[in-house]
Order: sequence, then structure tokens, then C-alpha cells
Amino acid sequence: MSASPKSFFTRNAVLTVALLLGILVEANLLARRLLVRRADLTQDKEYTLDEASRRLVGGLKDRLVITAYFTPRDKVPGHFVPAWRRVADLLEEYRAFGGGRVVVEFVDPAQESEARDKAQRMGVVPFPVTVLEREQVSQQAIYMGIVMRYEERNKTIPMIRPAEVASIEYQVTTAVKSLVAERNPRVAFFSREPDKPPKMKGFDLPTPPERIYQVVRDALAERVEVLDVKLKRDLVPADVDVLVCPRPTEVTAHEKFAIDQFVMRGGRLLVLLDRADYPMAENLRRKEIPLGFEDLLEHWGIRVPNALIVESAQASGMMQRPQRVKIGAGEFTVQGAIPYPFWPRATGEGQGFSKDNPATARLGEAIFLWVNPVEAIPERLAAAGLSSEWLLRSSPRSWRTGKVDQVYPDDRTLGALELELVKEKPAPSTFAIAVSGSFPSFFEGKEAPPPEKERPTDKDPETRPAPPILTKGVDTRVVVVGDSDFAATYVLGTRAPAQSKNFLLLANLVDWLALDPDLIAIRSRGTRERPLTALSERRERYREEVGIRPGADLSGLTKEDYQAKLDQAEERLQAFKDRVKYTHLLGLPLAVVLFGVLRTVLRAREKRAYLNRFAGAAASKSRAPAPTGGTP
Amino acid sequence: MARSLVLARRELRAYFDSPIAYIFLVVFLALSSYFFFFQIQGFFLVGQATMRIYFEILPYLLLFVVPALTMRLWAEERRAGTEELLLTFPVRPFEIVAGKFLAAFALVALTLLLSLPLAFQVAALGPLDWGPVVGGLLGGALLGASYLAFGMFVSSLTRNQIVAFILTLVGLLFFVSVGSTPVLARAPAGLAPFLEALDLETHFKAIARGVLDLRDLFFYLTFIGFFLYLNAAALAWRRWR
Repeated sequence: MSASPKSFFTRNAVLTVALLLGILVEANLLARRLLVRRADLTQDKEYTLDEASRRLVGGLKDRLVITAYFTPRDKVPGHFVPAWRRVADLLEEYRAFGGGRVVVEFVDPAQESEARDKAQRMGVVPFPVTVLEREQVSQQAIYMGIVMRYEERNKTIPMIRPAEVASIEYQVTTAVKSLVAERNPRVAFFSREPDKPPKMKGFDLPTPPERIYQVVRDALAERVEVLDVKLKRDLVPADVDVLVCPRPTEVTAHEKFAIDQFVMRGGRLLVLLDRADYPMAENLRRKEIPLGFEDLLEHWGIRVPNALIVESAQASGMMQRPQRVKIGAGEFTVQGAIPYPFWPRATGEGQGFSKDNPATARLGEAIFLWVNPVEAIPERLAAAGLSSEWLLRSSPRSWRTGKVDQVYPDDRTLGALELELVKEKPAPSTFAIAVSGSFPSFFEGKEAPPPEKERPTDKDPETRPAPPILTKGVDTRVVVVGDSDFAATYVLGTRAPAQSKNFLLLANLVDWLALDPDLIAIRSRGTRERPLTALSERRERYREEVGIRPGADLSGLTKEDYQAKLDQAEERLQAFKDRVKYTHLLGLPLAVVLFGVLRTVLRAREKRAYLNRFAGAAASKSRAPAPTGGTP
Repeated sequence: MARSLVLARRELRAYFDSPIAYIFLVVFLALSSYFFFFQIQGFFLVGQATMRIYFEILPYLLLFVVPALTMRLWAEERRAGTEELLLTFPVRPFEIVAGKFLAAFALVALTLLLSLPLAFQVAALGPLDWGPVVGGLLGGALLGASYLAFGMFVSSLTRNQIVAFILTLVGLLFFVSVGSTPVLARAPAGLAPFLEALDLETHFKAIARGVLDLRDLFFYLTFIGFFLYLNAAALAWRRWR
């Protein structure tokens, strides 16, 4: 029985289609492996994972599970959405470059209590946001934390704030790096603080109050190995990666030598120094701190002028102090907070943090107490072949002064200072810099200082043969910050120090110093905020129009009048927004309709003209005389 | 190809001679502006100079307007009996299909280009990154072309326009949701990557971020090519019948 041509054709067609489909599917599968070429059209190449991150996830030996504990995108407030998307996109990049070893999962902790418990156990913290929706103000808890799991070990990014998103790649990659690393970096503290009492079962001996960096040590121990070093007799142990010198005081020759040699062998150094102390017990009177190693720093191109930074009110921290206030006829003393000009407050918006360094780029805020400037000495740096970058600086409306003896927050002291300073032009001062390169030894051509006694009662140290002096170092980095209080327990507090903004700064600096050099290449970039600047300018203009521009004399205004004027400006702004909205909603469609009407009219006219011509021809034809002869 | 272009030009003129093109443009422009400015997380509320809101709703807007465009492409010809006339012309079925496709694509592309005033408005208000806009428009064009190819194929299977519309809508809904999280979560583990790769919206999102990936472009081209081929095959099959 032979098939009819029709059924033969049908069978043939089905077969062809099935074959074609198979080929196309296979071609797409092949393409997914072979056609890995892409062009990132975005301005900052936001979707291109840094080379270091790609290499890291591309070379994973085991499966890396990234769990994003995220409140779903349609449930987060509008201003979180760009950040949400950015992080999701970035995680997708990790997955794509992970060669099948990276698994990314999204979990909504609000959905099930089990997920919520797990998120909290892993250290993911919800943060409350105030939402204004349909004239209703409500509190909402938003989850945006990430847990990374690799070979039974976990790392958590507890929460990602919209402002931190630009450097999220840095955060994730550093976390993965530390999960994958064979050993954690070792960070040594060089200080003369009393030792912490040894741990004994059943006894919890209190930390000596003079041990003011204990909280920082504990918090850092979550991510790195922390130890104390004494340098009067010994050099820094060879396996130490970062040496932290908090508030160095009267550094001795051997200690200086140990620091120098540590840097020579490629160790990374973080110095938090103060040139003066302002003890509360002595009414905040200035007390000089002899450093003992300014010459070493200057040898490396770093100068720490003996001056104090004075901030403008907008960029100062607040200090509590008793204030006299008049209420009715009476005068009372109440506790109030005033901007204290000796406590500079660095903010992201105020450009106090360098955006070019991953350690500072993502920070939102940090506060410093009695800060002295730290500067690079360009000629020294050039001579030694070193490079420097600033990390922290005061605001453009700040000054520096060497004349202050007492920093008491009373009107007389502050008023006198203000009168003194307004005569000078304000300028930003850098107070943290990083110097990188191969440092020259301070001890080149000198004798190595002999080891000393730790305490006067110690017996003489045994004389050991002096180690050969390293005179030219390998590439490394030195960071000097002109304040040591910002990381002290009395500023961080003992509760949740790891979440303190100041701690983040210190931890970032330590991470930046301790990590693999190729990770440092990950600069924060991408999803820069793209605020509607023209709208803010317009708001300012409308405020000016209603008479509340900055600097205007508002003394005659009551609070209500002021609010009313603000509202008036907002109304004008809203009217502008409405104009934009309706122009687009109605304008373009209307233009299309007009075009259609015009075209129809023109076509109708054309048609009429054509018909008329036709009708005219027909009429003239009918009026013509009848042909003669030969009629059928 | 020259014959396809002649056909395309004739079809395109026919769009603008009837109310179809205008209704298509007006509905699309009005809806896109409405969602861009007036939805809960609209442009001014988000407060960022970006066109992402527009490109987020684009797949769904196209999902409704493209079937309305394609439903009549063949069904109408069959109902009016002009299809047989068309098939007797000395043109290959694929040339006819390509001609109709190009005309409809030109209309979709014009619609997308008319979103540029919106982009210029955004750029006037803040620092707009043009990379994602270019990516989004290109992705939108590819997505629209894919919808068209599928819709035309469905239209060639039936003589009823309503049936063509509904079948196209359902089919496209499948293709834009097959790789979504709820579907993937319930799919067998081995099948999930395949389903994700089949999803039209996933590829669009990737391009609309401003990242042109050869794999996404290749996927769209094979998708469009496959359904145009099926469309031509359906015509050829009917010619045989």
C-alpha cells in the first residue's frame, strides 16, 4: 500500500520541522558554550565582573552556594529597587562565570518562619524603613543580606544598604576569597596596652580598662586572626600580614626598627595616631603625645603636622553639654547637643571619603575625635618611587589650627576660635593617606638598634647576632590615619561594635591591607546613583521664588510660615512634574492622531481629485458627437 | 528579497491607510507613558534618571498589542479569500511571509523609536546612561520581532481572528513565563536550565541592562527564523492541499 502524495508531504513536513527544531535547540546549546562574547554598553561597565572576581569564581574547586535573603522586589520601597536589581544582576554574573559551580538562590525571609530563623542565625539583619504610601506612614522590615556557603563554611553580608551597592562586588568577592583561602590573614596589634587576662574555665576576668582597642580586636577576629606583638626585643613574626599601630607613643629605636623591617619584607602597616590628647579629667586641655617615629614616617613621604582640624557645623559631630535656655520668664539648664568643631564627621555625600579606594568608597559616615592632618610629601615620594592617595579628608569649609590649648565646648572657647578662623580661608585637609610601593629602609647604612628590656625590672636581654638589615622593601602599602580615638572602645561602644560605622572603616582598611593584591583592583564602580538633578535644581529655584533661599534672612518668619513656604515650593514642583507626565501621556498620542487625520484628509482630497478627473473625462466623452457610419 | 520588500512596502502603506497603525501607536504610547509615570513605583517616585521602568513593562505591553497586529495577517486573507490569489502569484511562500513580517516589524520598530522623546525627557532631568537605552531598544525590537513571528505563524493556522489573537496571547504568555522563578521552582531540576533558556523575557532583560550578549542575539534570531519558516511551510502545505 503506497502513501498518497498528500500524506507523504505531511509526514515529510513534520519530519523537517522536528529536525529543524532539534538542530536549533542544539545550536543554541552550543552557542551558550561557544558564543561567549558580549559588549557592555553601560557607562561604567557595570555588568562586567572584575577580572579578579571572574578568576576567583572560575577557579572554584567546590560548589559555592550564594543565598540572597531578599525581600521580593515588588515589596521593597521604590528607592531600594535599583539597589535590589543591581545586586541581583551581580549575583547572576557570579553564577554565569562560575562554570556551574556557583548556585544563586533567592529566599524571602518574610515568607516562612524557617527561612527567617535561618537568615537570622546566619547573621542577616532586617532593617526597618519608613514607607510613605498613599498618605500613610508605616514601618517595614527589609531584608537584603547575603550568605555564602563553601565547603561547610559560611560568610555573611548582613545587610546591603542602597548606598553601599556600588561596592557590593568588592564585598562579595572578598567574602568568597576568605572562604576559599587556605588560611585567614594574620593581623597583629602593636600596642603597650596591658595584656588581656588569660581565659580560664569558670572565670571571666574583666578586660583592663586601659585596653581600649579590645572591642576592635574582638570584632576583627570574626574575619581575621588577631594577635598582639611586643617589639622592644623582637621583630614582627614572619607570618603577620598586617601590623596595626593604634596610638603609638614614644616608639623606641628597636620598635621603630621592627616596624621598618616589617614593611621592608612586604608587611602592610596601619598607623592610627594622635599628636595630642585632651583628657576629660584635665578639662580637655591639650597634652602633647610624643610619637617618636615622625622621622620614619617622613622618610617614607608621610608628614603628620602638629595641628588640629576644625570643622564647620554641618560636618561636625554633636557633643552633649549643658545649655542655658530661656523658657518664658525663667532660665533653665538642660542637656543639649551642639555641633562640636573638633569632631569631624566624614560622610559619603560630603566627599569626606575617597571614592577611588575600595576601603572608603562605600562608607556612609564615620566620626573622628580631635584629628590632626596627615599629608604626603610629594618630593620624598617621588624620590623613593612611592605613590600616595588620600582616603579621608575634612570638608571644604574646615580649617586647621595649631593654636588651640583647650577644646572645652563652651561658647567662650568656641566663639573665640570662630572669630580667629573666619579671617582665614577654609580648605579641606587630608587626615588619612595610603602610600604604596617599595619603601626605602630608614636604617639603611645604620646599625640595627639592640633589643631592649620590656620593663625596667627585666633582666638584660640575651645578645643575639643582629639580623641582616633589609634596605629596600618589596611592594607594600602603609596607611596613616590622623586619629586613633575613632576605633577605641569608648567611641565604638561595646554593643554590636561590628555594626558601628567607625568599625566598618577600620575593618575595611584592614581588609584592604590584608587581601590579595589582585582583589584591590576591584574598585567600586557601577550603579552610581543617577538622581534627577534638574529636579533638585528646580526645587531650589522654586524655594528661592517663595523667598527661602539659603542665607536669606528668615528671622521674621514663624515655623508655620516657613513650613507654608516650603509647601508652596513643593506644590510648584509637583505642578512641573504633572506637566511632564501629561505631556508624554497625551502629547505623543495626540501627535499620532493628528498625523492620521492629516493623512486621511490628504488622501480623501487626492481621491476626490482623481474621481473628479475621471468623472470629467467621462462627461467630456459623453458630450462628444456620435461616430458616424457603420452603425451595427 | 526584492519582492519581499515590495510586498512589505505595500503592507506598510496599507497599515497607515487604515486606522490599524494609528490605533496601535496611540494605545502603545499612551499605555507606556501611563505605566512609566503613574504606576506605584513610577518614575518620579523612584527618582532615578533611568528608563528601566519603561523596559520592564515593554514585554507585557508588546504581549497585548502584537497579537492584535498579527491576528489578522493571515486569518483576514483567508477569510476574505485573498490568500489563494496571493499564493498564485509568482512569489515563493517565504517571500510573502518575509514581506508581511517586515511590514509589521517596521511598525513595531517605529513604536519603539517613538519612546525616544521619553528618553530625552529623562536625560534632561538627570544623568541618563544611554547604554541600557540602546540595549533596551534593540532588545525590544528583537522581542517584538519574536512575538510577530510567533503571532504570524498562529494566524496562518486559523481563519478566525479572535482565535488567532487568543492562541497567540496564550502561546506568548508561555514563552515569557517559562523561565520565571515560580515555574522554574516547580520544574524538574534537569529541565530548569532548558526552560530558562527558552524564556523570551530572560533574554530581553539581559539585553535591556545594556549588555549585548551574542547568545541572546543568537537565540532571538533562531526563534524568529524558526517561526517564519513554519509560517512559510504552513502556506506551502496549503498550496499542496
